Amino acid sequence: MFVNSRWALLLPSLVLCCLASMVVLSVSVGPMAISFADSIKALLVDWVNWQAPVSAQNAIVVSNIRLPRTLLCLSIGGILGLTGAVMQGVFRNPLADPGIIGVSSGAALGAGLGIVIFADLMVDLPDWLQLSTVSFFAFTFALAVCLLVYKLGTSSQGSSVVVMLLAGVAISAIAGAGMGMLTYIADDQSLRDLSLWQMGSMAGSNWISITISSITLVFLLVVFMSSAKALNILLLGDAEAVHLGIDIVRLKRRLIFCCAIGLGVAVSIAGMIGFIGLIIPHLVRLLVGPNHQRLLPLSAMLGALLLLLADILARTVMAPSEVPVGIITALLGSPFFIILLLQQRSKLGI
Amino acid sequence: MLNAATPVLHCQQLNYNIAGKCIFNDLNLTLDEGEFLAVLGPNGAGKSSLFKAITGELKPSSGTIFLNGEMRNSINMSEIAKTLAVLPQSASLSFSFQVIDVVLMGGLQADCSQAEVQDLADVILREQEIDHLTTRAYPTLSGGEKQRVHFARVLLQLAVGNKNKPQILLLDEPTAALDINYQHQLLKSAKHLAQTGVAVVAVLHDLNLAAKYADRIILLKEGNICANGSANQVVTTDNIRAVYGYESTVINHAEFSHPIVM
Amino acid sequence: MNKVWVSVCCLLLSFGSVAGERIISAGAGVTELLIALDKQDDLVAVDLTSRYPAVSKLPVIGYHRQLSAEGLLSLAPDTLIGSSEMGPQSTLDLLAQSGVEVMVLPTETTTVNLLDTITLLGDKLDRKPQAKQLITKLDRDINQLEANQQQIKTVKKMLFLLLNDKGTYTAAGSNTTAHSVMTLAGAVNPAAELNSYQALSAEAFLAMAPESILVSGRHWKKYQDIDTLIAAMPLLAETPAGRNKAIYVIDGSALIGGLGLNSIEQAKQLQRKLYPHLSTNLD
Repeated sequence: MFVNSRWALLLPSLVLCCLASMVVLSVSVGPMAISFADSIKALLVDWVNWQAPVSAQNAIVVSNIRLPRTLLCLSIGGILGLTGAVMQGVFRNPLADPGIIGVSSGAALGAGLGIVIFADLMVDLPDWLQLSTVSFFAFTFALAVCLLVYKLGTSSQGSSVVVMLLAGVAISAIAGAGMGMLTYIADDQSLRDLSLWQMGSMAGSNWISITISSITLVFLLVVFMSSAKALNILLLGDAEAVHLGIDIVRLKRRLIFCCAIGLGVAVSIAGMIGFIGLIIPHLVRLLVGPNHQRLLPLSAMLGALLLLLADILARTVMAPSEVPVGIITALLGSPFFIILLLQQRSKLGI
Repeated sequence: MLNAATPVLHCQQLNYNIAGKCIFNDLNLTLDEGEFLAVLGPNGAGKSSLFKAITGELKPSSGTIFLNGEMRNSINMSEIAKTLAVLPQSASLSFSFQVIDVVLMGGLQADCSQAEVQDLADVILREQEIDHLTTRAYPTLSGGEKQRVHFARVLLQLAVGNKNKPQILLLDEPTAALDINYQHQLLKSAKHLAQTGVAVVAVLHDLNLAAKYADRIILLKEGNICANGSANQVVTTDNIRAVYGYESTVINHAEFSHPIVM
Repeated sequence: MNKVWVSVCCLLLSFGSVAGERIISAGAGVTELLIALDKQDDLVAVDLTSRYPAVSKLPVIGYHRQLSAEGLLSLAPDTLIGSSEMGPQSTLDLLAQSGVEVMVLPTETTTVNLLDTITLLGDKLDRKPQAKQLITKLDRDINQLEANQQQIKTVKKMLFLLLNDKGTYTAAGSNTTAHSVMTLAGAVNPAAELNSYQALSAEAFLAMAPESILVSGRHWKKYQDIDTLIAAMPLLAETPAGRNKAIYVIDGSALIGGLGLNSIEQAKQLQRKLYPHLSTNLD
């Protein structure tokens, strides 16, 4: 569509501007009625001595509630958009979702275990350790499932994407059965917690989670950008990539594991937030084409943008209550995806 | 130190068995700098397996392949990519890259700057007469056009590769999707490349094309090399009968530089 | 005369505390108590489970384990009252940081806890007289319930069934409010060895052989009489309860939010129905 170079250069700057505006919006909008000016003042209260003092409560709301959430949306949204783009490249499948290799179901199972079974065991541990029980389990299981799927899909002959996809389906089924079992034995409280976890929430923002997710995002960007050209060539086919000198076994392993780590971090902090990894890379491809050198950074930026928007809506539409953010991303994402599907129908043969 | 006697490609005692079936057995093959070798044979003769063994997609059950005197297994992948380029029979690419992007993929292993790679790509596109397609979306091209784009990509790969050693170009039934004009154009370019020192191995179906462009022809039947020599030596009624089971007429007229099969 | 004085004092005292305390309740049990202690005018928001007519117009803060800090702060509360299950902890910390008093009440599973909680609330919320009144009544009720239990010659087996569309036999085990209510009423729960609500297999259900069945009023609306229920759950016909058509209905709201005032009330009614011959009269 708009693949000429002028647009391609302009777009990242445009997106960055939108992102910056969304950040400002996110910090100044919320169930608490704080004027825009006051929000900005509260944000800068540590650096500027304002004439009219900022109320302590406003300062807390902006700096300790809205700002951490905003930053977390940036990093988690970025991770989700980025891993989505890479997964679609590795699996040469534009309909691939980051959870396609079973990472999401593994994480869900881990979180389920953490909530239903081990919650009781962890009651005597100090607070900070307890809070991360669910995160720890979600992350470890996400990684374990990824490892299993990769091992199943790889042999001495190389790796097969098809086998990995099928293994992902099978393991998701097992994880689903496990979840069913947990749902069955859980008490009402755990059941509620579990279903809320599965719908995702950015409410758990603290400086630890922000640091971890930001570091992960930077790490992923570095690794993936260095493989951007190789990812392009991978789209030609495994054989062609080998002929051009790419060690596809190592490449795929590196990419899949990095995606698993990124997804594990995202899911363990924010629960299951769907559609970003699926929709955003498509949107970016429609705008700037499939070249990963442009696709990857833009997917990260637009992923952050979408999650920010969804989070703003999540905390304002039903105030003082909060809608799980996964619901909003699904509501925003699904209609768009249907439109996309209708557009692409001809390419898919109908 | 390479001396002129080291063949560019040397297949030694290659065996390939799969699922109890022997595809080829004790195959030996040598290729020199600048030689254009055509590999022909009926379906199931083992042409594609042999091709894949040379490209590295297939691991032979036993035997060794030497590239410029070194064992193929001992060279790392990016080094091989600088010396050996492969044009596949068909490549599927469902993402909307531009033609120029696809061609530039060939420049992955380039040691020179991006600008130089871009210049080389422009020259190749012009030479191959596809510069009018430069900004077209690849999926919108016809089968023949796509093939020519990949040929340009492969040419770029060799152009930016390691010029210190003799290079090899491998073509897998490259004329399948092309009409007669471009069939000849592609093989002519390959021949031209051979004249600059690049060794070419082409799996072909058409005996006449092979006879016209190849320096040497190999006829494969059931995994064995039945004939190995120049066009005049190999393209004979007896050979064709033995390998294809087809009664043909071969015209060897002084007017034509090569035999013609009917 | 004394009664008049007490009323006037209460009235004066209640005026004194109308100085606008804004309370958010994060639990059905808490809301129930606050209404009983005459504090519903100070409530500004309640949680998802607090479905009482008195608070039906109030904004809802959502699920008590997933409270939104900014959402709560936007209601300018002075106090947040809930059980130890309230969360997440980060929200509670932020509220405390902003000057909101976060009152964590023990989760009511026993009658002792309930009485302590009422005392605590009465002290903190300036409702000592109401609290005292409530406690006196509750104490009397509980004592009578327990006294009556001593008199029961043959204890009846009562099973609480969670009715659903699928026709599975889900019973209430220990650690449920239903169990506490039935025990208070003087019945024995054959599913006591189970924890929380569990689906029973057909054999397990028959083995329990309940003499009476207890169901929630909310689900009972669909059936209205025992024959319809037996049609949906045919195994009932094989139990003493089914044969004697002994089915009792309890107000569903008494089962939410732990053991509360309505739970005690329901226990009283249940005991009266189960053991009508008991000498001590409950009012």
